Amino acid sequence: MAEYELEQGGLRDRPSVTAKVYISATLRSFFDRRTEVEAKGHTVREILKDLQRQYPDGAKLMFDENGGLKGFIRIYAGEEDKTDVSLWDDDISGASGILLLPLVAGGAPQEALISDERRKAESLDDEEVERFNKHLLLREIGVKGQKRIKAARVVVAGAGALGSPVIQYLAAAGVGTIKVVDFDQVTLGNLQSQVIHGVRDVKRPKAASARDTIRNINRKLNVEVEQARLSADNIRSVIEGYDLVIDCTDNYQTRYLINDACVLSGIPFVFGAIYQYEGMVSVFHYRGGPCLRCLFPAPPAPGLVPTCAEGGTISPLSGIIGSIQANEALKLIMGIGEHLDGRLLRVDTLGLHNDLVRVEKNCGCPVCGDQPTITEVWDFDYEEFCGLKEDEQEEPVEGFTPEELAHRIEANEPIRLIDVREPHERAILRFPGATAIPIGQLARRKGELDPEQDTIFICKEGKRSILAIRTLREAGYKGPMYNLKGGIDAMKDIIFSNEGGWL
Amino acid sequence: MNDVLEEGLCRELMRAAEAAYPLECCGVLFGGADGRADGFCEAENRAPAGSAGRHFTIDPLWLYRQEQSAGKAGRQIVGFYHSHPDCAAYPSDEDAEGMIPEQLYLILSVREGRCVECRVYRKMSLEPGQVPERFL
Repeated sequence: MAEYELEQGGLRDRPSVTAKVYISATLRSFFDRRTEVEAKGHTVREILKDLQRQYPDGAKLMFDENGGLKGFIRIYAGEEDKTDVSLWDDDISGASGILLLPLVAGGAPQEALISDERRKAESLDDEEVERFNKHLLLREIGVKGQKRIKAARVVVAGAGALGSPVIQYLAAAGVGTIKVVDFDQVTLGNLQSQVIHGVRDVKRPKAASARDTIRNINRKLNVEVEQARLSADNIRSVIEGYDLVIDCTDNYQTRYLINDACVLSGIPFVFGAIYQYEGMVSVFHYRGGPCLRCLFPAPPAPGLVPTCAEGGTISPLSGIIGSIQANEALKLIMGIGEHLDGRLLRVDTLGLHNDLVRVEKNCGCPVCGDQPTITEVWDFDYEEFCGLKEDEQEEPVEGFTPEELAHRIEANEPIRLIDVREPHERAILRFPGATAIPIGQLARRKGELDPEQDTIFICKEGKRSILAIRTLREAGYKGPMYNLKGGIDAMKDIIFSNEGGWL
Repeated sequence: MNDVLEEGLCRELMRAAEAAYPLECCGVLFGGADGRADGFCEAENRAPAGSAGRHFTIDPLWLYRQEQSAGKAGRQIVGFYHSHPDCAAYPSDEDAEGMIPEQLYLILSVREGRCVECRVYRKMSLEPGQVPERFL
């Protein structure tokens, strides 16, 4: 190489010139500790070649394995930057001085959930390069990001409305290991929002149906299925060893369970919730950030908030919120962009408002605060907490089964029916002959009830009606009160078969 | 305090990093013949427009002038420092690739305006794929 270069210099038929090259103090130990070295040549190319020949250590410093100049080396002729290869053949023999300097630069690392080590252990084959081409084109993602996605291990809790987009987008994006946890079976009513299931899946386990959909998207992914109800007994083992949990559940009990288990196991989780037309997304317990209990120390007061099953949701809402959850998950995995840790995104799809609310970490938080009182996962008994469950201490609430109530109605017994549901719920399904008093107004309107008459309380699932009876007892109402067990949901097959009560 | 950093220097650098937040600060570390850092000079961050929150670049000619004046005073450049706003104090891939062997690289982590950590790294040889070693 050196000979060729010298020969080439000779061919040009120019008198040989010796340039003096200043070596930056930071690079001198690779050039025999010299401040200035001499190199033969008229051009940057010739000078570099001569330096390469004279100083093997310097050559190693300046050139990479493929013979290219390393990114941090800069060559100046006077004040002029001659580093770019297109300038290497300019004659610089007249320059006042030639400087070899480092370009000191760098940047903050992107903090990815998947470490560089795990990323480097992955490789992409030709098929994957084709499949994930649109990711590879993105500067922030590229091959490195796609490998992180491939290495990621994610648990999706719930294969329902939110789980549908989350699972499908994680699978499409190439998340290497996806665990789906759901105990439930697909019903016809699920198909309005749970787009991962089809009509053929009705009565099948949701987890199995979700697994089939993932396999249809990408057979190479590792799919794990857990057809179980999350509880204090199993949650730690379900999430242990995974990088991220995505909360796609629909009840407070499981949400608090997931929160506590994730904090105790040191796993961040992406929270998502939907109600009617509104949704929320946040990232909890990410790098010491706040958790669900920092934001909501306790579930909302009993009876105030119907669950999603009771309150209803517009079909695409879960798609919107779930897609944001999946997007957040991918960004966390790759360490790109802004994250929702310490912030709660609220989306109102009816009024078209979005906002970001700051979520502060609570140092008194019972699970992630300075002195935590929750040090192991326990089943947070939401029903007991909310007074929905029969307490042994408390006077039990008597109730009728739908059949018993139907007999009484048919026998024209002197009974009074009180529907404690909200107006929008009654609009869906009216209970014939019932007086409507929403639960929040009961105590105030107890004068409308007749203490001499048997009164039966009705709600959607037979839980709020128990609460209604307790509320009236506390308010001093003494009349006989009964609960409709299982609520209007359990009754509708009997009473509405020929009533035309459906809207 | 240790054999790479003069006591008090780290505190001064932390203040400089906090002042630059949310942008990255950068500069050179000076020292004497023993290679121990005992002073610094802040450089203008010449990262491309809009990227100074996540990147830093020191102008090579500015560095050249610093070297010249340090040399006259019998001192030398022993390394560089820069900050990572809202990010941990470890070298990114980009940092590691551009590291000159034997120079000290001091990285400061600033979170929400407060400097929370200061670490020092050094690459020991020219071998490709060398991982910078943590010194402090």
